[in-house]
Amino acid sequence: MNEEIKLAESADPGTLIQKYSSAVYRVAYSYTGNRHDAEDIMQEVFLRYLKKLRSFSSPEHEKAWFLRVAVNCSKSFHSSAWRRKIIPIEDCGDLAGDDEPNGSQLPVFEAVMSLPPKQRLCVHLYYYEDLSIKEISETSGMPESTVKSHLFRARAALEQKLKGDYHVK
Amino acid sequence: MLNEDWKNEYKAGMDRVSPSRNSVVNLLNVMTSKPAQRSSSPFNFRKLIPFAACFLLIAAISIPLSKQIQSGRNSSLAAAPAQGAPSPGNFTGTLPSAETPMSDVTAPSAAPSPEQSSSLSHSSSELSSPPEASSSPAPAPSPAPASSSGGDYSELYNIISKLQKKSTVRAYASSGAESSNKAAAPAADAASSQGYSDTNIQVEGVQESDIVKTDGEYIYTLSSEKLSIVKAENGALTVVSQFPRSVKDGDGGRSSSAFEMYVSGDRLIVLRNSYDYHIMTAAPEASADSKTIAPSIRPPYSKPFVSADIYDISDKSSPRLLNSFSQDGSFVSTRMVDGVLYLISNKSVYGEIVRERPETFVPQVYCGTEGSLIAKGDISVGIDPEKSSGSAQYLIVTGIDTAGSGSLVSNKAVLGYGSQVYASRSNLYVTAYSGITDGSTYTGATKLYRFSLKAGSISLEAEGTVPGSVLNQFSMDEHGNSFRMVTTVYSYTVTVGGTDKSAWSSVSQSKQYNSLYTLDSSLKITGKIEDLAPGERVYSARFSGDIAYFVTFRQVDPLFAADLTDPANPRILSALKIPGFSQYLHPYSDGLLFGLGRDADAESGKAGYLKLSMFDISDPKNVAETGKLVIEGTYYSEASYNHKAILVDAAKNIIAFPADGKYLVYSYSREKGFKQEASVSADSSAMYGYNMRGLYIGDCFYIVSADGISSYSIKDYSPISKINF
Repeated sequence: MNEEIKLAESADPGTLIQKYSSAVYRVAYSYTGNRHDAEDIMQEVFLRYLKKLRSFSSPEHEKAWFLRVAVNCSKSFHSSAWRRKIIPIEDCGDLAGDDEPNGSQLPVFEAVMSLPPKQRLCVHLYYYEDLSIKEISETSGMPESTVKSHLFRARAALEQKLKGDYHVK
Repeated sequence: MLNEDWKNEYKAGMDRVSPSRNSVVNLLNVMTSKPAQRSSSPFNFRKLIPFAACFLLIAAISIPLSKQIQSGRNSSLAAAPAQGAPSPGNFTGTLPSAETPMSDVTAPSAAPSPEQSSSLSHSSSELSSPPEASSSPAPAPSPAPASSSGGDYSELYNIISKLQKKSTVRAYASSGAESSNKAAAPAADAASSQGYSDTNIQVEGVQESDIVKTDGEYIYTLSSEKLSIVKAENGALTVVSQFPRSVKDGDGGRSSSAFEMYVSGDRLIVLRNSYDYHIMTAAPEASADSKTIAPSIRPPYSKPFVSADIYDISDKSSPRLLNSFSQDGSFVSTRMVDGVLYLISNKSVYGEIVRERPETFVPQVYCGTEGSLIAKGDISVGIDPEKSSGSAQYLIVTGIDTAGSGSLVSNKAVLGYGSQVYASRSNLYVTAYSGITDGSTYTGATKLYRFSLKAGSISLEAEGTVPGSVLNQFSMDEHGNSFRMVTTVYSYTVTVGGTDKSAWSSVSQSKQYNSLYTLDSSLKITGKIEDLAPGERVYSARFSGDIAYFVTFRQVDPLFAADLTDPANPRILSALKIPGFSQYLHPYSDGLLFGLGRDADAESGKAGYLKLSMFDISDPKNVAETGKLVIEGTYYSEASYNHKAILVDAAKNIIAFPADGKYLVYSYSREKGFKQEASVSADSSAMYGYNMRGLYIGDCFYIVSADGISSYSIKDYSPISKINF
């Protein structure tokens, strides 16, 4: 047991989880669009933190690191062959815990979630995390021009979806 | 640009997306334990080996059992014998068992055939009632088989199973409710009279748990791995005892981690998040007659509970565990009034539920290792359960008397969930997210429950709904027979048109504003002011007698003062506009209100450095900012959203809080304004001032961080001593 506790030495996982789990989870959710993957990604992000036990120069730096790793993990998660081949997501339905609420009764949220993942991600970082284009570029590793173009397309698509001809079931 | 309404709506939607508490607690346990972890790459076989071994072991033990029981139960419940197999004896004393209520351990001797068992299950022994005032810390033998009482809970079963099928608007419990979004201060500085400071609380006489506590002689603190009791004598510090914060209990897969505490006389109450890992041995959808435990190895699912361990600390060098109480669900909040602890949790019902096995859908409470289902009479389903909750969840409130060796006084469960909690000495108010649909207009709303509290005896007295959502516990207040709250209301209208084949909808007239409501004891709205500060939201609120103060913000900060003397007719007295906003308000001394917040650019509204404000409220009609200090270069303080991180004591003239890796102490005088008395840098690993607390005992000031404690003279803040954990 001592050994297990040592694992978490010099960082208080509880503190970090409380502080960043929602932000990390929401980034992952914005990219993957489902809670199962978002939860796995969240876990991966914190495990990476623990492996490195890095320190940060400021809270801004700390948060930026978590957001960046969340984006990286979200991207690589999608390309994980193990993941795609082996776990049928629906089998995990009952294992992940609470019912996941989301904003799906809000048309705007729904419309954003129907965009392609990278557009969603940019929208999320820009509008939810209030990051600048430059910061999004640093966080996501995409060139600023690409971020701008994702945001532009996302806005156009949202206009389209929400102004008048938004189809409902 | 997306327009502001859309942005707000996206944010509102995303705000509801939170990691389930399960997953967060899971994560916590993955970080502090190995065997039962659910790896993020679950199909790394190396990681699965310990896990598979564990499974095989349990399977080996439980197969004989399950052969006997092998019941008319659906095979998906094969997991249950596996859980039951580690008998209560396997649990070491410190943790209660989750398994005992299940009949698996005691049932096998009956060994009914599959055909018999279903009828038997309706006729045999009665459900054990919840332990009333049980004070035995010793693990008792398993209670009467719970599985026989399915009939009692039939109505509940029907409701839960309906709710589980519903997949419409889901209720949600906001995550982080317990610490991440509270932002206010104590009602009264009772501390000064006792010579030491206590956790910053909202209501006098209603204690709140925290990571650091003191009784005036000892400091109790939860650091990264340990709970430490430290003697503090005029600045000299001596560690008296320490024990691990996290406990991993055997191979059964229980792990638990202390997160906050109370100290009450000779009792130390340690709150723990506990988690049981169960290995799913059969697919939930497996057929009912499978004769063996399906061998598919799946990730474990885990079952959360909240525990309160009561220690006798009359001998500080060796705290003695007297009793442990637990309840199903994940932590919402706690309060303590006169030594009685109120523990509030949310339990989601997931997985398959079986009518004959109420433990699959009825919440349980545990006294020591003895568990029992909450009695049917103590579970309220509300007037329209489907409307009231929308998903299969319970809000559970338990009253535990911590005197003696501790006793469970009462418990109540409501179909629903809880998010923010306000408690006076005699009532507990719990909020939940809700919504009001009026034709095509949707308005976010808050569902309220009022429980009366009488020395641990809890009863659900009223339910109500008000438009808008509450920021935190400080947005609510009880004064006499009136309950008051400040909310931010967001609403929009959906227009649907077109034909069946090509229907469309568009959102229009979305609006956001702030409101103040007064309610009576049955939670009916008696008075209101609506449409305040359109487009802004509440950043902080504080009630002081008949006056409500609250801050909304977009570009500048209106600090509203509202007169609630006549609850039926509340009225705004003044609105002070200054740059920036306060995130925490605290009555300082007569006629003064302290605000901790951020400076902001008056043009753009962009938030800047931390800012301290002192408002003169001696004339609520004419509130003025009499003092302010912008802390250059500092943006972040835990105190901005966790009131327990700030110490405000007018009698001692101390305003102290952690900020950006430092611990800062200020004083205030009308003549000189704010003055910095001390600035102590946290050690590098102290998490940038996160989880730092300051307190004073007599003439010494103590700063407690995850690393250790340092002591200072309160006169000039010169260092006295320091220890590391």
